[in-house]
Amino acid sequence: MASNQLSNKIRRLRFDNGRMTQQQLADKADVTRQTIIAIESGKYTPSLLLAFRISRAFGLSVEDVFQYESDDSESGTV
Amino acid sequence: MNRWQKIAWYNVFVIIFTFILTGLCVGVLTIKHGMPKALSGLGMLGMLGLLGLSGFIFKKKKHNVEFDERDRLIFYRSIQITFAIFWPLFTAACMIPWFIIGPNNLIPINVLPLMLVAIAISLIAAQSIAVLVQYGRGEKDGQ
Repeated sequence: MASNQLSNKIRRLRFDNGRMTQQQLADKADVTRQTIIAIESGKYTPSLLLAFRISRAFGLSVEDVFQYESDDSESGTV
Repeated sequence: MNRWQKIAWYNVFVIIFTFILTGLCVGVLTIKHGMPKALSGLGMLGMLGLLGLSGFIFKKKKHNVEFDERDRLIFYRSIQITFAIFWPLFTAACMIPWFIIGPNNLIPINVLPLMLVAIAISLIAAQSIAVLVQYGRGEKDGQ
């Protein structure tokens, strides 16, 4: 059975972008600071729209901010 | 702590405080005046009307995002939990008198509003607790 994990580099990117605070990122992404905290700590998986907004706040693509790791035992190649 | 957590804590506090106060009133009146008159202590349940003030006490702050997608998800889940609790409560409220008193007997009319209030307060408490638990745990989306 596959276990999926979504990790992110938001905390690292905040510090790399002029030590952006969680509140500043929340304002840019139009969410609450609590949501940013929950996303950073991996306790909440954002929607696709929110993931795009957060990525845009850093000027990066979604894949640069969020990483999807699938621990699938069956490797499927076409 | 955001506005919804504060409202949930306020609801839980008011409910617990009201029930404690009501219990004390009924207890003291039972000792002083005996059982039928002691039921007038149930009037303290009117303190539950303070629940309606939560929107005024915890006002929405301007220029702030108050309710984003995570808040909406937590709110919907708390409604689902409350609805799931409603049915057993409602069924119990209907069936327990049936089994205890019997289908052909009568209950005082005062019992009906008390049952409705009890169910309503139980649902408010359940929703508030569900909100607090979800904010505290940090639910994973879809799980």
